[in-house]
Amino acid sequence: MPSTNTRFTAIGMSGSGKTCYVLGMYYQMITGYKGFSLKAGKDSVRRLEDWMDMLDEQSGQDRFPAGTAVTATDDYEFKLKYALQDIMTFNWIDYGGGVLKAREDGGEAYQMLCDSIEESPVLYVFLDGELLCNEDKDAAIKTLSKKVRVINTFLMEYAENHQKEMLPIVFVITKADICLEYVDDKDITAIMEECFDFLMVKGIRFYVTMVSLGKEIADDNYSGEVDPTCMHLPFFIGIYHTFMNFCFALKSEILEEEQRNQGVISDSQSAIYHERNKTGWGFLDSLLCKESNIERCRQQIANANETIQSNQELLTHYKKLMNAVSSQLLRDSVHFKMFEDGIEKDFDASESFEL
Amino acid sequence: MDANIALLGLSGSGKTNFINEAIRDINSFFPKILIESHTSMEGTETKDFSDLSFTLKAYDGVQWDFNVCDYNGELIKAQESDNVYFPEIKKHFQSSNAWIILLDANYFAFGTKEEIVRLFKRKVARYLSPYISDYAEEHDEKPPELLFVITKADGLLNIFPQIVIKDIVMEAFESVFTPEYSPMILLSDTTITKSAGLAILTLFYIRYADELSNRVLKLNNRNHQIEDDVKELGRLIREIEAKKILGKLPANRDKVKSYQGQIESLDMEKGMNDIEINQCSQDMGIKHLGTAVQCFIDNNSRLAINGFDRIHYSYDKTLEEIKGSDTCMTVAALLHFLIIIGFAIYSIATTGILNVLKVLVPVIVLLVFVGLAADARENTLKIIFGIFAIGTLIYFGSIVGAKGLMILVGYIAFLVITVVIAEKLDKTTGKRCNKSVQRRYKDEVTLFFDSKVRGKK
Repeated sequence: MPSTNTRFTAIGMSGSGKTCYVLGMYYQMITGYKGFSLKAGKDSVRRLEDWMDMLDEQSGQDRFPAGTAVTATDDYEFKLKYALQDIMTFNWIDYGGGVLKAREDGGEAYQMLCDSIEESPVLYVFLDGELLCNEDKDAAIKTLSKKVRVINTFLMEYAENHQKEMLPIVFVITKADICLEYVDDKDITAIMEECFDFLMVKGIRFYVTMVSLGKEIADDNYSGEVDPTCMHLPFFIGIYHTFMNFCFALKSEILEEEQRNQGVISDSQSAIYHERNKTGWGFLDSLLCKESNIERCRQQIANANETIQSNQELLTHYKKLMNAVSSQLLRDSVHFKMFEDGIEKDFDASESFEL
Repeated sequence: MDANIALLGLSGSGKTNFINEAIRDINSFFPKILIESHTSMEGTETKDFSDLSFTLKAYDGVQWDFNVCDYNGELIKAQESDNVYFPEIKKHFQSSNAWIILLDANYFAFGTKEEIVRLFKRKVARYLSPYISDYAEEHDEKPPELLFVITKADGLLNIFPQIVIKDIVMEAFESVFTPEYSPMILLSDTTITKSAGLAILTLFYIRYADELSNRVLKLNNRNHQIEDDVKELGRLIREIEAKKILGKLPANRDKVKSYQGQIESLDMEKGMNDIEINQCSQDMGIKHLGTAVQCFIDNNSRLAINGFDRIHYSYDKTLEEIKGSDTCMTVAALLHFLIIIGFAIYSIATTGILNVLKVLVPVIVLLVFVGLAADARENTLKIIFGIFAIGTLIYFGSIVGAKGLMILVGYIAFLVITVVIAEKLDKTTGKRCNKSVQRRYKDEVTLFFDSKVRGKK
């Protein structure tokens, strides 16, 4: 059976808000969102709880967690649930922003990052929204473009190595509370065309989301109310892709198993027929017929039917969860953009409904 | 049916009060329902952790033992390593399949709906939701039976309408509320209703009703199986008997005998099952719990703000006209009217036509008082109007002399006799009695709980 465990890797420059995103995501999801909730693994929960307290009780820059060191790697384990039922377990791998620049000089961290990306079904790229806070939009985009050069190099290398199967990329523009005063929907397209034009090609799908820890978080020297906005979207998109792949894999495995079991049923039924009609003489047949053989065949049929039924129930269960994820993402699709084959498209989740 | 009931609430949410109130509320339903405590309730406020055990008894001897934990609410914010009681609390939660989640209504005082939701999420749901999630993880991804109780909710409905309160709780606990699963939400005020007790009774009712319906379902399924088996055995018997020569072989005759024996035993089992099904449907425990809970919901629908529509205990809510009473009153009124008319004619005849006006006024007054007495809603009023009527009659008698007084005494005796007969016949002594709406509940149990639930604490 395919696995419901996965990992998501986040890259981005130092200070772009990767670690704060993990906190914001947990902050929003611990109490739930439309029936969905996140449960942190034992190793991560204490740290996240402490950060939440810090965010609630302190003010200024001190209320945010410190960034991840260049050589460090943080691994947070989460379980996404819907209606308290498990959807997927995922590890969120957070690397120090400097590792992309340091590359091999950053020691093992860079290699670990590359390995982690290989294992991730979705790649997250964090962009610092603060860089867009400029009345002159062109200048802001240019500033961002300069800052993301290192990411571009990394992504280009990755694209070159995965020409056949490019994984979806989710761009997360952080600190939306402050940058939304300067940029709007149209600007997002312009930013992507200017900074990541090489991704605007056939076969590549990427998403752009804007997240914030609260509309007023930056007020009065970062002492505003915490009210995470759209924090669920980036990882929901990741879950959508990964869980959909899981469901399709499961479906094909179940179909294969069903065919095998149908074969068993058909074989057992003919075995019963032959056992009862060995000679074609009713009197002799009833003497020669071994009830134990028939019983064994009946048992095999019952087992096969039971397996088919339980597999169908399992698939229905996962379909229901998949439907919950797709429907929610569809409802929230006004809050993110999707680009595919170089064109901005509406997200319709149609692929998941084919399940 | 033993149970653990988990009270999940932060410090100050009113756990200790809730337990005390619940006991007091339920015991006000004595003798139909009674709760007994097996542990001393003293000092629960000062201790960090108290394991309390109770027995809930219904009228006919059905009883359920249950445990409730009272603890310092700060403990559930703690992590395992922080407190010695934490593992005990967690164990209690995991073993409780019914949870009452206590939310302090004071949070509703802080701002707009959105601000209150945010506050609840930050200060309450953040700590409580993981426990519900943990429970589901340990129990096949199924949550416990949840009942949200908003404590100290006196006057809350004057600030927010039901729908807003419901939305706030649902949004604050978004991980729990889904289109498929919407737990119950109840408001609990400290001075008027018995909702603390009813919260406990509701959980017991749901569990016991489930238990009974599962039992009935199992028995029905078994009965269907028995019917199929009996049919199959009958077929086998017919098959053997159809074989002319082989059917008479001793081995086959033994088989037939054995099949017939099996049929008999299955029929007997089905009969026993039918009796048990009947017993389940007439179970007195569920009748008492169900009626108490339903009476509460019917009388306090403003407090039961979500999920209580799943409880629909069908007690007999219809009211019955007491036709005998109406007939009695009509006959009595007619007789009295005739006597008064006769008395008036007699007095006119004996005192002469000049005294007609003198007589007419008291007669009219008398008729008015008799009419008022008959139509009065309360018995006290009946008596008062009756006294006035008799007073008028005495005055009337004094006008017509000694003979008149004798008639008067006879009339009073007649009045007393008819009233006694009427009261005996309609059995409404001491109850509200109205000439046009003389009604009563059909069911004595319903009447009991209805009056208790209506009665203030």
